[in-house]
Amino acid sequence: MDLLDPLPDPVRRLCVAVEGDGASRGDPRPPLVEVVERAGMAAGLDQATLQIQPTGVLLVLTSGVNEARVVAGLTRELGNTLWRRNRRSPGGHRLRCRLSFHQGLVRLTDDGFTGQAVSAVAEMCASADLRAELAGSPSSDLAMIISGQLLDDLAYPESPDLHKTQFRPVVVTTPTRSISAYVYALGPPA
Amino acid sequence: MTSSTPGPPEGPRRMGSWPPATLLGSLKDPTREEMLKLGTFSQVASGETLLMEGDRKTRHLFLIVQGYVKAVSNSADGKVVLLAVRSSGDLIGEFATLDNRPRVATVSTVGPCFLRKISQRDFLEFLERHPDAGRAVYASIVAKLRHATWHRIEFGTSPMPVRVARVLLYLASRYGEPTPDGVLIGSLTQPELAAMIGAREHSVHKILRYMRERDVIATRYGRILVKDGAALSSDAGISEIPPEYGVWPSPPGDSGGN
Repeated sequence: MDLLDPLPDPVRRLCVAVEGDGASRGDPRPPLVEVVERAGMAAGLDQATLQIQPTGVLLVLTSGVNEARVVAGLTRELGNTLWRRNRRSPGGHRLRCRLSFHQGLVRLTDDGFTGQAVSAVAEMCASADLRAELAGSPSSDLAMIISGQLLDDLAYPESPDLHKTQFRPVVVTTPTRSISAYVYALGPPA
Repeated sequence: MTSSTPGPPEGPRRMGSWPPATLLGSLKDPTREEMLKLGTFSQVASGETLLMEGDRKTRHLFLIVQGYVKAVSNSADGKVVLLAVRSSGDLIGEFATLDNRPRVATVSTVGPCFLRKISQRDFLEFLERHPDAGRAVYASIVAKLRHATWHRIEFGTSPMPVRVARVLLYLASRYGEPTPDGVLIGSLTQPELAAMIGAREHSVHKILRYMRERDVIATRYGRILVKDGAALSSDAGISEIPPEYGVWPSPPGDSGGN
């Protein structure tokens, strides 16, 4: 009796994509993974699942997680981790990141995570809107984008740390879809 | 990201460390990495049956990468008895893999899970290549038998608050992470806890709220923090769990019961 389908179950999960910004020598992912893991642990996400992608890092959160806490906590800790790293090596390569959040159905195959949510969060992270947000804020190490559907659920008063007024609304357009979203670039830690 | 040499994608992996009391937590890194490549990776939704009691045909097993499953059995008087709860880092179904006998319990997910489904042949070949893993698997089976003995004695048909307290005690001991403020239990939702003990979510919510009000537990990062182990033991109606049952780790210097 084989009770597992060949096509694995889809489960609704919070997805996070992180990419480094700008040119770098060699494979830029090892320092990115280190930064993401450090920030993730500081944000209490040690049970998240990490997948290294061709262009960056994907995090898939446990089902039922407090999404507002993850969004606010990971954004804050990633900003702090980047600030500390870049301050320690003033002459070295400055690592700046783009961060995206979306939730939806995720499947897991032997090739890793797939599904609409995984594709959408990657497209948001690579979007021109998010790149422009980071480029337009030279003092920032991190710019983030969150899908409108997700922020509508999580924004104040649901979460005291996520106010819509701090974001700029955009529409991420790809050949296959348009995603309403919000972007903003983080300043240095207070 | 602009990269001169973009690398290939790599498979998913857990961000933090494995609970030390589990099979994966007891393995050395290279052995664990190889074990995590066995079989096929899959995600299973909540409430799905993985193994069926009495099944004589299948011999595969599952390695839990993330999530909770429960093993239940039908008693002679028609009641469903909770035999065990398993989580990240543990095997399920290895009895039939090792002895070619029918499945002894029905195992189902109590929340969404990441699992590796491993064939009997792949698993046995892996154990032959890694005697250290073989010893760890035998130790984990002995631990399961020890705990099953205690579970049978202590769990029974206890009132709901007692069952909640006992499951939390067990999860804290096997999967918990010691912190200065108490023992942090892995990500566990109220529906998952309710499914483990066969209760309604509303009832579990009330029991947990009462525990929080008394500062027995707290919620941290969405996880349960056991702040007062003595009070939780009292709620569970347990003054002391004999060490030979293997529910609590042996004290330092104690080789454990034989």
